[in-house]
Amino acid sequence: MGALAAGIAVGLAALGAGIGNALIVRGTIEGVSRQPELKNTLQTLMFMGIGLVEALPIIAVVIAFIVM
Amino acid sequence: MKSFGAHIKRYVQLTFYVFIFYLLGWGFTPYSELFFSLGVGAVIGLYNMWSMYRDVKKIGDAAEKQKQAFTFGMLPRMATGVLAAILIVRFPEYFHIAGLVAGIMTPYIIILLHSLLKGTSSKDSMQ
Repeated sequence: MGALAAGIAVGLAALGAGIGNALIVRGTIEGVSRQPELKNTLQTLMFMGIGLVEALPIIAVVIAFIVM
Repeated sequence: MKSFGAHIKRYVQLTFYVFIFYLLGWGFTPYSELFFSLGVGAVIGLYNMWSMYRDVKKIGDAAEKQKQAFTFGMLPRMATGVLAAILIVRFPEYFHIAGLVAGIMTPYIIILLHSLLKGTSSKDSMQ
């Protein structure tokens, strides 16, 4: 059961992070394609967004592997 | 408006300041296990930040040149979480679980605080 719990925890965390990252990257790519002069600003914002999105799944992975 | 690379340099600089604080805590306080875990976690977090920087730059360059970029490299960053879990499970006498996780989160917390306090304001974005 521990392995099942770990799998569900990691899977759901990765799913959420994947969706979040996809939305951020899509927005950035659209923005850069339309206005290449804003690349620096958009990259910085993308970096911040991805940092916030990816923090949670990494914690989830650590906790899941310890539980397992 | 500072460039993307300048922002990243600032984040790395702030992370190193916090890392030095952890080292001082390891050397001069009785909570050496906690601060050692925080320091190791901060090093892992720095790798994560470098990996994110590389991937964000790759995606931005690809978008600017209208090229394709296929992967975002999330798996290596997740693998650092697995590495932390292995360290905790294999060497429980050296590592403190909350310290290691907090150490990994150090650059992320710095990014969050920096974006909240100084962030990219709309005035900067228009320049």
